[in-house]
Amino acid sequence: MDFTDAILRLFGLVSHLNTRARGFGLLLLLPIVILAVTDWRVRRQR
Amino acid sequence: MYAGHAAVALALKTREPRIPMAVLVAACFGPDWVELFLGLFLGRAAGETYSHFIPGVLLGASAAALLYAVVFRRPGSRWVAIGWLSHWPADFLTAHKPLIDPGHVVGLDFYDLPKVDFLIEASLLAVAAWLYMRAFAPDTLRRRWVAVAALALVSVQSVLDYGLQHEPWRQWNPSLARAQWQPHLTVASSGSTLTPLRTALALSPASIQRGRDGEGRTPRPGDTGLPHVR
Repeated sequence: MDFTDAILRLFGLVSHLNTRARGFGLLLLLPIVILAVTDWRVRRQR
Repeated sequence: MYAGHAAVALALKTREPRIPMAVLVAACFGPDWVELFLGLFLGRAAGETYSHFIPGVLLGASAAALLYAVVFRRPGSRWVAIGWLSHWPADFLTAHKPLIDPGHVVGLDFYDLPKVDFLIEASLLAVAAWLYMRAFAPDTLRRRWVAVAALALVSVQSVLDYGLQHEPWRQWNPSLARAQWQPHLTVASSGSTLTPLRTALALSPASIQRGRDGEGRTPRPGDTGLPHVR
């Protein structure tokens, strides 16, 4: 994903495969965590 | 696309509430997960290509739907497949993605207009959050949770677009065609090679003078890679 490279470059990190993979993995996990927690909170109160 | 995929997951959740949200989000980002894992083993270029070309997306969607049906034993596997399939058209808006031939990429490339990209993704998220609120969050407290989640995703998106904005070498290059002209129909010539059908049908010099694309114009180097709008 182009985003990962852009962010790593912005923070001066070398776009090394493992660094990129970690950044990419974190980016992919974030929406899962955010939306799963939100859905759990919203639907728990129903 | 980033926040837009999460928006699709939010919207799909309203269609089939029994699917766990984490599964839907993972499905909507499915080709990116495949890219991550393939990239670790096969290298970055292969990961990017085989996770996002159309046969790969179809295969991934089928496998994800089957896995969901087997593991969760709940209805809704078609929504998992739809979430996975939605990834390609969403990415078509923001980047260049392969079609059936991995070497042929197309897309509207709004990553290279980061402000437009932000506008598109934030709008998708706003619409999806509204749909989700309408379905599951009738009161203020629950709506606040949804709004906070949408704001968090928009914030991440803004950081990502800020990063893209600071890559001055980027140029907007939307493409609906190959970088070189080629015929769509071919016929076998005397040898084993294939020649354009148009060449076989060119019976008189007049037809050649109409231009190489057969419609009164000859493609120039500047035409390459740009959609032909007539």
